[in-house]
Amino acid sequence: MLFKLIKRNIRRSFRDYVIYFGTLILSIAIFYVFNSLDSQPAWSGDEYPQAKIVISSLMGGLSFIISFIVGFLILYANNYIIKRRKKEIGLYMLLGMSQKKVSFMLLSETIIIGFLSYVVGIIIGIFVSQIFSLITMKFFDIAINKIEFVLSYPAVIKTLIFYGITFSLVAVFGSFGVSRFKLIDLLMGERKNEEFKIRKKAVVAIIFVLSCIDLFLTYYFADYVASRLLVSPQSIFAIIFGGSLGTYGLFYSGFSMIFGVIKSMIKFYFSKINAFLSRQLLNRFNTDMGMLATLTVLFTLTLSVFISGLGLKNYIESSVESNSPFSFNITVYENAEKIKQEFDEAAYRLGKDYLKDSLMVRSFRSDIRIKSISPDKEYFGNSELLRNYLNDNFYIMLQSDFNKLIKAKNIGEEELTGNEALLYVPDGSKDFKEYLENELSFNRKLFLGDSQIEIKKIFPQHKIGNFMVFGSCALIIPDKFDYITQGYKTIWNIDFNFKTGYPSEIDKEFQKISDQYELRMNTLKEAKANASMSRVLVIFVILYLGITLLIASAAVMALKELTGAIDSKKNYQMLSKLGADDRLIKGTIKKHMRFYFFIPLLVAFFHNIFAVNFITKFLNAFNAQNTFLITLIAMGVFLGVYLIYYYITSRMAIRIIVKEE
Amino acid sequence: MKNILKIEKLEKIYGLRGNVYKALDGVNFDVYEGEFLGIMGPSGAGKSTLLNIISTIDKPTSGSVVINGQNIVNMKKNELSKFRRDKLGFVFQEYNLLDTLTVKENIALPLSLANVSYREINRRVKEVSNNLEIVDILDKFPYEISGGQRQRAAAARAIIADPALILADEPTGALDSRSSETLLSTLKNINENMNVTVLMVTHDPFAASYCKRILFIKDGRIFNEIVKGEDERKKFFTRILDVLAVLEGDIGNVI
Repeated sequence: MLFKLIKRNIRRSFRDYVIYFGTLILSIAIFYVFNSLDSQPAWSGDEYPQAKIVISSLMGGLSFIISFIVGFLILYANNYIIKRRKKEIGLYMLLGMSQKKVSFMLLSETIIIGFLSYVVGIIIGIFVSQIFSLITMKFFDIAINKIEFVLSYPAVIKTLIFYGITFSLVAVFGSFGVSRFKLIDLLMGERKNEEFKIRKKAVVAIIFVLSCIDLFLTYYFADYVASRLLVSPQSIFAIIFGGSLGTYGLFYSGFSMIFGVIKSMIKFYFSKINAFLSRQLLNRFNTDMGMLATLTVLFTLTLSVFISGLGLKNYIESSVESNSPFSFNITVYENAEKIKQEFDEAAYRLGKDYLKDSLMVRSFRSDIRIKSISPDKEYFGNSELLRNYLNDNFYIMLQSDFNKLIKAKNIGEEELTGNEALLYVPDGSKDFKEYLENELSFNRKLFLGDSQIEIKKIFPQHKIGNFMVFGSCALIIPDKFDYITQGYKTIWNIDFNFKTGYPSEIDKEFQKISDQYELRMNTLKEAKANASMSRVLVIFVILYLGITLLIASAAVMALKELTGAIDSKKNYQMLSKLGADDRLIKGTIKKHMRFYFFIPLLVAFFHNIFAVNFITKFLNAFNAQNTFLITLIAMGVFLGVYLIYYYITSRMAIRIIVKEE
Repeated sequence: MKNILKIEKLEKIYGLRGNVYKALDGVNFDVYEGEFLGIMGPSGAGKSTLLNIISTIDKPTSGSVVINGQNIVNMKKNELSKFRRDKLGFVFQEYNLLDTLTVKENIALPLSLANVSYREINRRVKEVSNNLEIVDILDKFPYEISGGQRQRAAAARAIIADPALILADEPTGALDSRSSETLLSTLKNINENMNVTVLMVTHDPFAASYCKRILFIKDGRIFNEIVKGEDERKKFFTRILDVLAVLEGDIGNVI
């Protein structure tokens, strides 16, 4: 008999708790997909040796956080389900079912539901991970020769263990809960009046004004920090703290303020169902304000992370070649000739036909500060980054060496006459370049020891060498001034450029040589692989955390609204008796849903206008970009998922209130 | 006198084919303006079915119900909502006021629903609350006022739209005797002083003794009818008990 009951309950539950099951199944599928990433065929070659380990440990760590989120969701949903079934549970107990049996029944239901969701979730997960695997392979330019079916047993088991533990904990919690039930509360549950909170007008007004000021200051501070590049963990924490505080204050007071305005529009307030709707909303907002504010902050953070992550991805892409302009790029401080010879021998022996260029250039670290370009002016700006640049020393390179580099990259040679010189900035922030341009318009002359040179221009940035060679900023001077460089530290830069598809023995041989000496070797291949890797990792982490957070929060919103619908059913029935027709009632429910669902999102989007500004400025400083498109995509995905939840919840609430007897 | 409610050959049959159950089996009666009619009868007699049909919440199997000259049997769902709003007032035993609204907003609700202008709403609320002596509590919430005040507020809401008929379903069912008395005197008050027609379903002889006329139904038919006339309430009460004794005695004999 008990099992029949359980079976029937579950069958009925599936229809009733679409949102809960949907979210559960989705989160299990997502969990599987991301935990199976390490067994994708993309990493099976030897090109990405670290990939498996890095991905599996990263996803493993993230999964702990995810389990907490999901655990909270399940706990929350269970409370909702019990609330919905109070009467039914009360009836079982009234008919003499012992508390133990009720607990057992609920426990079995939870476990069976969990298991069913697990099976469905894994099946969906396996399908999605096939698509994911194809996308990743395309991303890494790996030829898709045959479609491989990927099934990761470790991920299947890991999902089972993580969800098993989460579910068991929640189930145990839940069945403890049953023993606290009082029969009278269960049976009379519906009769209880709604609790509600009335706030003092003065307090509300003060808090409203304070939180507006707080938000304004936070936005201003964020803008200040981003423009002056004062970004640090402390400043980000301060912004998040200020923003959260303001958001809580706003949710505490804002609705009462809006309600005050609506109420003063007396004609509007007393027409149709408006008074009821606004009171109902005010009441719900006031009781749920903590949760709503928390969700708003979460939405804001998730969106910001989405946007900055995607921007960071672009940055990683753009920085590869400027860091490693040649196939091999070796920086040496001693024994350069001997080392160069060894590399040359290996290069000729193994890849004569592939070798395009082999060159060696010198640069020198001078003792002249970059800021001496404007001798009578001290920099008083706020940018810590710019100050660091200006306090750095000029690197110096002779014109002949510089021409070797630009020739190898097929960039036209630069002739210098008399005491002309060039400035070269290998990479760096926009602000720095702008600063230099500006200073040059006032003064182009610079003393190097006793000799005066005149800076002709800033040579446009090309992919010819990195920070190791040119420092923050290099002076390119005519060869006749080479006496200046005496006494400065010499940096030898050896570059090899091979045609694509050069034999991989070269990689091994070069590695072997570089292990014998004190030198730094950058290879284009590695840089590219690393970049792709970090790009993909950034995207994986953001998708994993972001989507799970999003669906969990949307589900909590939905469940909260459905609970509210159960609570206010009586009120709507009363309105119907007083002569409100079905259309008006449905319309009111929909309006209620719309406000409840979209106000947090609206506030989050509003915060994000400033967050995006912050992120954009910050990324720009590092030559990374945040495009408008990225922001739009992130917001679009967010809104799409959210709309689905809104739509289903709205339909279900109408069913609960209007159609169910 | 104006006819407010006219019920003819009303039948309500539950169930399909072989297993039918007649909840109402040819009920006929009239209610005239200014009446305070009680309907009594044992459980299962068909009281609630009758009231639900008059409230337009349920539909009869056959027969006609004419309220204020309009036959409600053939009306569409939306017409019925409008009809309930404009022509009927309800006094419930519980959940009679919305917790989230103030007393004034509660009372104004039927007029708001009918899209009456605010000036008119204000005027009516003042008038009705004056009559029922609840002016001082208009801006309070239901949980801030006493049980008796709550009932008067509910009564105010029932009459504010100037309905043709007020329906009360076991209004004293969940109340202690003191609150019952206040509610009943309120109903009596609005009936006598404001000439509002009231139809009350009850099984409580004490509550019924406030009525001017009582119909007894049993097994879906009208079984008896008594009129208060010039009697004292106490005397009317004993007459009601007498009829009930016959009714229940009858049941006793069957058992």
